[in-house]
This record gives sequence, C-alpha cells and structure tokens, in this order.
Amino acid sequence: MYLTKEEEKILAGEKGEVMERMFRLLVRLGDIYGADRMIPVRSVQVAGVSYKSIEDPGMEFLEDIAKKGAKVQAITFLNPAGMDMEDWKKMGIPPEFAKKQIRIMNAFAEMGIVTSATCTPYLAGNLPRFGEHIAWSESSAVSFANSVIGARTNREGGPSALAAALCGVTPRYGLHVPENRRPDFHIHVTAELKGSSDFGALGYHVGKIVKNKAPYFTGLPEADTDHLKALGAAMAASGAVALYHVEDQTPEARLHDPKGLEKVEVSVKDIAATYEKLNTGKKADIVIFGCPHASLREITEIAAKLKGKKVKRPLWVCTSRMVKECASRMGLVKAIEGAGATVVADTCMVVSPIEDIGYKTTGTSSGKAANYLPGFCKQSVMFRSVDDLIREVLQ
Amino acid sequence: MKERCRRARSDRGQSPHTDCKRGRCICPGKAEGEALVSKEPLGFYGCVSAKTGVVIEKGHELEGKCVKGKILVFPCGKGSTVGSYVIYGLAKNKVAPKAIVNKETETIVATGVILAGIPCVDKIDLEGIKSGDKLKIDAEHGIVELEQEPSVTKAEISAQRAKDIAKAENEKKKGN
Repeated sequence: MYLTKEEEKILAGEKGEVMERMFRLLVRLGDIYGADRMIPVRSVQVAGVSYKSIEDPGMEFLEDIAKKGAKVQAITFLNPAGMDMEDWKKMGIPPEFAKKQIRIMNAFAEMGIVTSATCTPYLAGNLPRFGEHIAWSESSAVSFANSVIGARTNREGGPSALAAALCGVTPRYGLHVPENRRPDFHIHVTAELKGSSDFGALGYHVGKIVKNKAPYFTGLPEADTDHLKALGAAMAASGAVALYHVEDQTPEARLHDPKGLEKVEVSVKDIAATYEKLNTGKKADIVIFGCPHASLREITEIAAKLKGKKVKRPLWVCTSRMVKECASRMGLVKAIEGAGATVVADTCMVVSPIEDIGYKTTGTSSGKAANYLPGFCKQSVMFRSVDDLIREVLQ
Repeated sequence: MKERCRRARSDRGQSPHTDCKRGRCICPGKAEGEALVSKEPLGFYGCVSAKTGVVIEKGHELEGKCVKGKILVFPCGKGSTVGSYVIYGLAKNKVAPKAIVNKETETIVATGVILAGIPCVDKIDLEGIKSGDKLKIDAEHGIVELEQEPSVTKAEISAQRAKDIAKAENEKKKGN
C-alpha cells in the first residue's frame, strides 16, 4: 500500500502514540483488503457507544485515547448511546449504568466528536454528498449513505471508524472503488408494499437471500426516505447488505442493468411468511418506534394518531436529539406525552438495557429491531404495522 | 510454501499426521492449542459474552462453549459492527481465544483482533479441522499446522490409567 511521506511519519510515531496505533490499524486493514492508498474522509460516524455494547474495556480504551489528547479531523457523529443522555432517570436506567455511559460520552466529546448519538446522522446534520468518501459504521446508516445518498463507505467497525476520524483518512478498498458497487442480484418485487413495516419485512427477507451482496430492486412503489431507511436497515441486520439499488429511485441505479443477474421474485406470500416468522410474541409489554431513529415525518404521523388518546401500555418513540428538539417546538412531543407515551432521544431499544427494566415482549414495526430484539434484549417480538401497534397499546 | 511446511515438520521430527495449511496473516503472532470449531458464522456482539468468553447466542452450535484459551475456528463473522469491541473486551478480561482461524475474516473481526493483539489467519480451508484438534499457528506467515491426535489411543490410555489407579487403590484397601 502506498503511503505519503506525511503518513510514513505518523507510522514512525512522530504524531504521538495514539495516532501511530490508530494509523497502524488503518494500514493493516488496507493491506489485508487490498487498498492501494489512503483517501481523505470528511464525514465519520462511530459505532460502539452504548455501555451495554462496549462495557468496561471499551470505555477504558476510549478514555485512554481522549486522555492522550487525540482530536478528530472530520465531522464525526456517534451511534445511539445506551440511554437518553438527559432523561435517563425517567427511562428507568440504573445509575451505575448511567455513570459509565456519561464517562463514555465525555471521552468522545474530549476528542472533538459531536455527541449527537443517532443511527440516522443524515437526518441530524451529518450529510455527505453524492460520491463522497466517508467512514461510517452503523450498519443501517452505511446502507443509507451508500444506496440513497450515493456516498461511499465500507461497513466500518467502531474502532476503525474512530481511527479514520482521528487520522482523517480511510484505506481505499471495497465500496470506495466504483467497480465494487455493481449489483449482484436482481430482486423483482410483485408484492404490494404499504408502509415502513412492509419495507422492513421485504428487507429482512432479501437480506437472508443476498447476505453481503448488493441487490438491485425493480417493482418497488415510489418510496420515501423513511421507507428506504426501513428497507436498508432490515437488509443490513438479517444479512450484511451495505449497498442496494432501486430502479428509478436511487442515484446509482441508472449506472447498472439488472439484466443477466440472478433474479429472485418476492411475492405477497413471501412478505406474509416474513411477518409470521418475525412474530414470536402475542401481547406486547411495550411498543417501541424509531428503529432506525424516527424522522420528523414519522413523529408527526405518530403524534396525529395518539392525539387525545391514552396508551394502556408503555410506548416509546426513539429519535435523535435534533429531531426531538424540532418535534418539541412543533408541539408533537407534547401530543405524544399527553397520550402517556414517551419520546426518547440519543438511544434505542436494541442498545438500551430494556431486558433489565423488566420487559419481555416488545412491539415493533422495524424489520431490523425484530431481527435483533430476541438475541440482544431477550425479547419476544410482535412485528406489525405502525397502525396495528398503536391500536394494540390503546386497547 | 509447501517446502516451508515440510521443513517445519522435519525439524521437529513430527509424525506425517501433521497437516499444514497456509493462508493470509490478519494479525501476527504465534499460538498453540486446542481447536474450537464452528461450521456456521460467528458474531460477537450479542453472541459471545466479553466477561466470560462463553458463546451466548441461542441455537448457535457453540452455545454454552467457552472460547478462552482455544484456537477459535469459524468460517466468517456476522452481525453488528460493534463486534470489534467485544473481541477487544475478551482480551482485556483475559478470556480471549489464543488465536482465530477463518475462511474469510471481515473487517469487524479483523479490527477486533488487531486491537486485541490476537493472532489471526484467514483464507484457510477449514475442512478437516474439528474441535479438540491440536493446532499450531504462525500467523505472521499465515501458517496453520494441524496435528491430528490419535484420539482413540489417547482415550484408551486414559481408560487404562483409570483402571490401574482403581486397581492400586483396591489393593491398598485390601492391604489395610
């Protein structure tokens, strides 16, 4: 791998021990995966933020880097934390957990990272342009950035994204190289898709089929960014899809022709079977929306459906701090809280310790959450549309 | 390469049972130990406990097994990008595997082993490696040596030993 004189100096330790260690990680990854050189990145998103995921070793690793004075060289956002950083007491988070989560956030802040903790950085102020090289790690955000925006990123591990932020570069391999962005499968959808949960079910089904390859969709109805967010998130969870194309809808689709690719049809039966498979529970103890984090449009819809009503069981809407601020100003948070539900920022059900709070069955409209809740949070799942779930908690 | 393996073998005068495979170095280092093999992909976040090293994923073929001190063999990683921190955590908590051998190491596992300093080799044909086999890893050169233990004989030896001890104890009792 070619390194500039400047880069050689970092490896020789001239910019300190942390930079040497972080840069060495990038060089080694570049060597392993056949990168020819480093490329600058100006937008980074770092996973591995919740204390539930990284525990004491991760926390100490981050504190050590922060203490040695390393600073990021690109705008860097964080993945969701293990709790709402302001309202964690209301969420029922144990104080011991909160203390460590705050230490983690402080370490990131010291490095110059924006402590906006969200899986939708593109809705909260970290928006790359088409074709821009970035280093993101949250799998659904990686999928959105590559597919819907047309930026270029590999699926980074938490530490490799942090290394890219601190060094301002990432090795050029994988999805940074145009030839590797071609589709591998042609997915033709004959099923009629209605809302985000249908897109999530489709994503879950297709992720299982294509694994870590790139699908090219035809037959999809006109989708908004919330639908595509749900589709990409589910494919990244059930498989490891980092890039997909949708005919006439995503920016790189016109560069490719699905003709000749292995073709798979997805019918209404496949979608129905996916709903059946994902439903492992009967009665939800709690319903959680916002996986990935809810957009302002989604919050507006939920608020309209809850206005003037009372929920009988807990309902959370997870979102980013930025979106929550706007929603508050528009009176949406008040409408939702007036119905007895909660808008939670900075976190989500998958990375917060909900199993310790005592919930056993979670209702979700997210294909991604339905995939992860059983393993990460020991939850049974009720997978339904937003309308059905709201009806469920009002009963 | 073959020559290197052959040389390594004859230097130590090992039996022809030793099988030598060569792949790609992910993280350098040497290790020797017992293989723990998974035929299915292995995730780390939510699948392996960083505190204990025990595989906790429901229904995984290694569920309940501990990776500590083993040469952990699996085709490829899967799942969350936070897995790198779990691998790092295993090392910090002193419950990490001695080495990792993969068919294909993706970036999440690669990042984890590099941070943790766990020797790791990929591009290895895993066919023929089973749990309990003795493996010797020279990750820098991508070498995985498989010493196929004559396991039946070993079992027989320990059975015989147990009989001997029982016999001796019996005689001791009689003597008393």
